[in-house]
Formats: sequence, C-alpha cells, structure tokens
Amino acid sequence: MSRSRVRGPSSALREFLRSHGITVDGNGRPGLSRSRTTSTASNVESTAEDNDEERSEGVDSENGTSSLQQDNSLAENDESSNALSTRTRKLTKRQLKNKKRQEAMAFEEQENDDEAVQGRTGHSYRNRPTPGNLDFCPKCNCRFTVTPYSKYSEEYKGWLCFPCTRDLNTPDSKPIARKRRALNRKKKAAAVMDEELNVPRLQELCIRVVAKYINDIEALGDIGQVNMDKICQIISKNRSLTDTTLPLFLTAQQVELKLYDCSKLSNTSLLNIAQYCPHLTRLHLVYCGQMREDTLRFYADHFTELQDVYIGGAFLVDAQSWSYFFEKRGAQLKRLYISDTARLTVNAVNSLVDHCQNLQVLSLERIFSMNNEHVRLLAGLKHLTSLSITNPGSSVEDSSVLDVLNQIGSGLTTLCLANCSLLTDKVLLEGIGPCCGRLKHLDLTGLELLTEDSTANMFAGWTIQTGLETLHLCRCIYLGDKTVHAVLANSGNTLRVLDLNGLSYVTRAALKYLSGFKCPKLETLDVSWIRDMNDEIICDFESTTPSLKKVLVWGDNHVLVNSQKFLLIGREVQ
Amino acid sequence: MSTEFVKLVSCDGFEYILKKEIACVSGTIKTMLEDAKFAEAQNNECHFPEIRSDLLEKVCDYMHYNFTYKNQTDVPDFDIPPEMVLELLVASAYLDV
Repeated sequence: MSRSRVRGPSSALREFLRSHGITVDGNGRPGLSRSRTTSTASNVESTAEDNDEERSEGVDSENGTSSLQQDNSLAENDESSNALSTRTRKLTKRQLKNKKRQEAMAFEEQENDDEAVQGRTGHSYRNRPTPGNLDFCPKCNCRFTVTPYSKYSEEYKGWLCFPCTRDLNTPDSKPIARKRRALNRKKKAAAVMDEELNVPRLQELCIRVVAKYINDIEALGDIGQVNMDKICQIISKNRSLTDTTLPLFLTAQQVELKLYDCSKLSNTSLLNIAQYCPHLTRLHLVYCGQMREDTLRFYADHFTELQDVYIGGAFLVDAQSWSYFFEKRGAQLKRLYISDTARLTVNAVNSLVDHCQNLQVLSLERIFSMNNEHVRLLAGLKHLTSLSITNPGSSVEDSSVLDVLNQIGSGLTTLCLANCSLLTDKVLLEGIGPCCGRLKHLDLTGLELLTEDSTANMFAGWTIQTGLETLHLCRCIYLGDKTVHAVLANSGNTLRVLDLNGLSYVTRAALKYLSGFKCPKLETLDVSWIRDMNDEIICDFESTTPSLKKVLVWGDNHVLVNSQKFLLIGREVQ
Repeated sequence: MSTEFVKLVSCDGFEYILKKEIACVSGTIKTMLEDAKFAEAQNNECHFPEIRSDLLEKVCDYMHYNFTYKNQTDVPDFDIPPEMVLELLVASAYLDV
C-alpha cells in the first residue's frame, strides 16, 4: 500500500507540514526525509511564487488522485483547492518536471525506507553522490563516473572505480592457478602426442631459435646437412620457407634437398633450385603448387644426376611435360613419388613405364585421374620392389591390380593399396597370396570390401619368405578375430608394426590371444576404435611383449590407466 | 683432481670444471672420457681448440639444465640469445649435445 502512487486525502495541516519537510505516513507517524528536506529547502530558496505554485500543485495532484474517494474531508479539500486552483492552474514545463521529480523522490524514499537493508540500496542514479556523478576513487584516487554498477566499499568508505572494483571482487589466485593448470595439462598432452617427453637437445633448441629468426639470417654456415634439414623442416612447418629464405638451403655441392612446404615458393624460385644445385641426386618437393611446365622441363634438362624424386602437388604441370621429364631422366631414376595431380594421363604413364625401367620404388598417391588403364601399364616395371597406389580418384578395380601382381608381384617387398576402395577379396586370394612371396610391408588401409573369411584364408595359405614386418589393416571394418589369428600364425614372429585401427569386431578373446602370442619384435600396435580393448589387456601387453614401444588407443573408452612400460597414446584423459 | 670432476678447456684458454656425470650429457665428451687409452680420460681434461669460451660456457649451462630437468614435466625454457645461435648450433653438433 505504501508503494502505490495513489495518495489518500490529505488535510491542509499535512500540506503545511510537508512544505516544511515533515512527512506523515498513513499511520500518522512522522518519518524522516533527508532528500525531501534538501529539495524542499531548495524550493524554499526559490521564488515564493514557485513555492505557492508547488504547494498548490501538490494539492492539485492530490485532489486529482483523491477524486475517487467519497469522503467528507474531500469536500473541505475541494473548497480550499478550488480557491487555490483558480490562481495556479497554469504550470510551466519546469514546474511540471520538478513536480515529477518530487514525486519520484517521495516514491523512491518510501521504497528506500522499506528496503534500506536490502541489496538494491544505492543502485539508482538517485542516491549517487555529487552532481554529474563524477567522483574520486578512494583507493586509487582516479576520477571516474559513478554508474549503477560501481561498488560501494565499506573499507574505503566510498565508491570504487571499475579497476578497483575488479581487483576487489576477483579472487586473484584462483583463475590464474586454474589457467596455469589447464595450460600445463594441454602442454603435457601435446608433448605425449609429439613424443617429446624429455628435455630437448641443445641442437633442437638452437634450431628452434634459428627458425624463429630465419628472416634475419644471411647464411647458415657450416652446420652439417642433418641440421640444415632439421631447420628446413621447422621453418616449413612455420610456413617461413619463402623466396628469400630458400637460398639459405641451396649450396652448390649439395646432393640432397628436401623442401617440406614449397607453397610459398614461386615458379622462378623452383627453377633456381636447378641452377644453384645442379648435382642433386635426391630432390623432394612437397606442396610445390606453383611449379609450371617450364620448371619441370628445366629439371629434366639440368638435373643430370637425379635418382630420387618426390614431387608432391605440382598440379599445374601438364602431361606432356611429365612425358618429357621421363624421357630425359627416366633411365637414371630409381625412386619416384608423384602425388596430388590429375594430369598424369595414360600417355604420361606409358612414357614412365617405357623410360624408367630401372625404377625400384614407385608411389602414386592421390592421382585423381588414375584408373584401371594406368594401373595395368605399371606391370611393365620389371625391377619394382615397392609399389604404392594410394587414394586413386577414379576406379581402380581388381582386374588391373591382379594383372600387375601377377607380373611383378614376386619381386615386391612393399605393397600399398591404401584407399583403393573398390578392391575386393579377389586381390588377396588371387593376387597377393599366390604372387607376393617376398612381401615385408603390406598396407591395406581402407579396403572396406574385404571379408573376414577370405582374408583369414589368404593369410593362412600364404607362403611368405620371411614374414611381414608391417601390416596395416586400418578401417577394413569387417575383419575380426579369425583374421587376427591367421595374421599371427603367418607373421607373428616378424611383425614390428601392426595396425588394427577401426576393426571393431575384434573381441577380447582375440586381443588376449594377441598378447598371449608374445610377438617378439612388435614395437608399434594400433588398437584404436576396438571396443573391447581395456586396461586388463594393456597390462597383459606390458608383461608379455617387452619390445612394445607405442600403443595407440584412440576411441577405446575402457582404457583409463596410463602405462609405465610403453607410450600409450589416445587415452581419454579424465 | 678427483675423478668426479672434469675440466673443459676452450680455444682462448678458459677452463670450465664440471662434475663428470654432467659433462657426459655430451656424447662426444662421454666418448672422450670413457676409453682409458685416451689422454683425456687419463688427465680428466678435454681440450676444444675450435670452440670459443662463450659458446663452451653456454654448453655447460645447457648440460646443467639438462641434468637438472631430466624426466620432469614442468620444465622452464632454456634461453639462447640469437647472436650466438648459429655458432652454438655448430658447437652442439660437434659435441653431440
């Protein structure tokens, strides 16, 4: 009731008292009115006419609100007000505003009286100190504007500026310590993943500093090829390998050059490599997207001793240039890796097979134009020991791969058919099994059409000379226990790297068998995304397979405890 | 001099005396001191006529840093002023450290 703006009838006496700053509430008890006294005092200071008008205005408003009341006192009010109102009906705007202010003040003051103890005190502009709301912070003595958000400080007996409020409120130790702990945990997780657990060597630290200041360095001096290569790796990762920093790595006598990120090197720079280092035998250029035909032709003309070539991402180079390169340099090439270009046509591959007869290692990754025709031609490379066809864009099917394996499979020690997703069991049963007796490294990542039984049969019936050293069955999702048993029976004693990533049908029993087999040479094991993997099996591995150095357990949510014997990567850290 | 300490001598005559196990953080020094037939092993002294004193001193600092924080996780950074980084790289490559 006391909060409503409706005022009951009031007598002339009350009016008189109010003009002197004494309020009387509904119960007849006098109340304090500090702010009122100031305002009424200011009123007193103003003209007498104003006072009269205010008083009458007060009466007027009261009359306005009380007109609803049917009271005897009303009549008497009416009389007095009528007398007054004839004089004072007209009001100026200023007086209207003043009146509004007074009413607001009265309302506010009543509210404050009721809620003086509660938190909302002093949260309006009303009760702020000085006019203009500027104040000096008692703590830091700066001048600032008091807002509804500034805190009042008992300690300093005054309103605090924003920075002081912030310091007062936030408990300093907690967020900083929490941040540091989170940062440390992140660092530790990153270190485990990068496998840098020990203190880095001084050479590593120096190389990091060199990489940071690479743009200010004029010459690297005599630091050895290995360190130069390491610096090159690091600045490639930082994307600092540019036309200006490239010359640091080019010397006239160099025989090996590996540039791990040539995306910022212009065509001219790439051309200059051949001019600065004509005696290169090994050239690896990764992500050389700016390379054009003339550069490759220049390489063909000038690199007279080239044997090992890796050109990744030269998508602008056309097929004729590739043919020209193979014609000129093919005879001396021993290792060839080409990746990420759609321009290796059948003609170019023909030229490759015709001219690069001494090729031992061939890797064609992400050649998007690759299809059966291309693959069939590769059967012509009689001395090939390592063949890798990865992520071909178009269709590479069983028939072409079988053709190749039938002709050159017996000489292969490395075979990688990763992500040639159209291949089926036929490749295993009619190709790899019968033909590839010398195989040491086999990568069948992503061949989802392989079935359990056929794969198991193939491994069971496969006569291998020495046994596989690395086997990748990543994401061959339908393979399960039988395959694991067959693989171990076949190559368990020679396996160094075993990749069973994604084979969710492999059960606990098979994993137990794997740990119980005690593979003597197993160093790296990937059992990610195998649901049945758990801590118990990890323990088994710890005790039975001492050669194990790294185990990957991404997505295995039953593996919780870290291992002391080997590196366990991919745990859900809690 | 007891066999616990070794002396490393730079090209400009500065001598640095370290504990043997700390000096053996460097592969080269370790090999020099291991084989009893080498003069270095007999005298517990290693001379480096191609390495300047400031570089050798920094290498000694690093060896202490490495020894102190081996196998720890919360390791502070080792500061290397950029002016000497290239020569330090050469020296550390030689000393296998």
